[in-house]
Amino acid sequence: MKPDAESAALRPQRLPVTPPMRHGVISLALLASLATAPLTASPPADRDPDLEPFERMGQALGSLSYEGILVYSHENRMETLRIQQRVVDGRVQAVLESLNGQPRHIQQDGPQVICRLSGEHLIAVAQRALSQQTPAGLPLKARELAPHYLVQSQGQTRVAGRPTQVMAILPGDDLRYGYRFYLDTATGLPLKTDLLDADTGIIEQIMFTSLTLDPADPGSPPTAPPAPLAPTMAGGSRPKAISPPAMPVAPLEPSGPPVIPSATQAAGHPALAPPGGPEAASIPAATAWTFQGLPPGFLLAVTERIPDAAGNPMEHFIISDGLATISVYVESAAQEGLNGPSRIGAIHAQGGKIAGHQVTVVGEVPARTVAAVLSALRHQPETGG
Amino acid sequence: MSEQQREHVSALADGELDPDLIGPTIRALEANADLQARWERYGLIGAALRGETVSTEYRCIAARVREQLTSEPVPLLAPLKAGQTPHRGQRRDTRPRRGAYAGMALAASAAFLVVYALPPLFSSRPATQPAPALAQVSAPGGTARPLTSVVAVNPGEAAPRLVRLEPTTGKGAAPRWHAAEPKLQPKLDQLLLNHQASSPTSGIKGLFPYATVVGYEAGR
Repeated sequence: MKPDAESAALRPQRLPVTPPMRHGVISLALLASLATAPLTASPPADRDPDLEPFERMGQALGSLSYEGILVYSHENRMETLRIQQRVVDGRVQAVLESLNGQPRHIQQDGPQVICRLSGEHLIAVAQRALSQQTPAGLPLKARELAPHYLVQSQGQTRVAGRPTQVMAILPGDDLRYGYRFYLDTATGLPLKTDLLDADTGIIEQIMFTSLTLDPADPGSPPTAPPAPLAPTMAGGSRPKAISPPAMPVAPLEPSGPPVIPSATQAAGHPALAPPGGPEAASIPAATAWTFQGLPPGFLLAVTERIPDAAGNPMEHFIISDGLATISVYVESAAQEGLNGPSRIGAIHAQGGKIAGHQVTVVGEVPARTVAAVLSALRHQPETGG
Repeated sequence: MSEQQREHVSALADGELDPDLIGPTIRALEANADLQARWERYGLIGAALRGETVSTEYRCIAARVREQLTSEPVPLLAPLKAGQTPHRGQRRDTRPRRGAYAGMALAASAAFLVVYALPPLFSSRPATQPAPALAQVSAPGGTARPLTSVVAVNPGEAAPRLVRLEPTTGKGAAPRWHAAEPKLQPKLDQLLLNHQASSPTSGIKGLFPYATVVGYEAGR
């Protein structure tokens, strides 16, 4: 793979932001989104009509109350999921749970996300309101996507008994995935989504088989399956919270307006604070890491320093091509970590030791892309860190 | 072989036979090679309909089960002591027949297990691994073992080998991450969740990021 001259520049990248888009895009997908954002943002001057359906999807995911059954198809297997979402006074409460196999669920209450993936193993993370913290971070602009994606309207069809508009973002090469969305004509919700490879072959699919909009009691919060939401793990330890440290898991208190810390720029990279506010942030004054020869179209979008599960500092970089994102975690080599490739579905990870540090790369991209990003990481100790 | 017998064998294969007819049907199976062949065909047809791998190794399972049971008799009823009066309604001359019924019930159960319960195990085994040929589900004394535990005997293998069918939930569930050390999987889950929570484009990917996290279970 030839390094991309643009990505080799290593200058701080601020992806263009389309304000209304930001609300939907940042939303925690299904569990969706920061519905704290208003839906009446004024349209920007360079608004791209081709991307309006995606804006509408993002808004729908972050503003509608609904519940339904989803089927998730991967590797010739079919899983059934249930989604419940309530949006009350702009606050999203949502639960996504698996109905097959091992009980798993993700629960969101405002900015807090708790994930129970196996047994008593709980993961708590804070949803990052990147779009509300920095003007850097937000994607989906036609000119950003154009070199590597093709946005295409593909007609109309019915899904779950409802008419949909089919919109696709097709990848231009095999370094990234594409998406085909079947967007509910009435609401904009993605009733079906195909994950596509470079040949537009379907890698995975997710589809509503039933959907109830505005359930009878929209005010009642979704109920998670019986699970120890109290932050206990086997052995009585607290769940491992990646960010912010010691994030309270329960009870979930209403959140205030989003904090917009002032982003600082160091060593050529924009530094972001986690959503806990400036006091919770450990903004790197400098980083000793740079990327040389990122895959074509991928640029460094975010640099931050966060605590790992043990509270030790860990550097986190987000690489993006405007749609696909890849996280690069750099921590002390004393920490156990992935050595080699791994994957979960179409999400790939690769780890290894670089300059005495444990590095883990993970993202919703093909395996070769995470490998290329790992290879592009360089340590420059004189720079900092 | 009457039409009624054929219907009873079919119902037995489907698990829908009246309990009162199980004994007579098994007796008929024991005595009639055509019924035995029909029983085997039902099993093979069921496996084919379910898209399961059908191997010729599994043919004549019932005969092999019977042969194995003959060589390893199972004491199902305690012998009456000298002078002991049989229970009311129990006649001495029925005991051998009951033993035969029980033996055949075991054989039928084993054949059922082989045909219906084990194919997923068989089809997932490495190609080089010989197929288990005999399964036993009832312990001496008639105490049923959990269905997740079976004993299988491979041809040419002197001692029975324990084959455990792991449940799809709990500690035996398949790993979520491919090719990753089990102890690393919670960490990888954490890194992935953090990635998705902080990714500026998670929302535009619709439902995929979290459907994968919640719905994905490798190797199940």
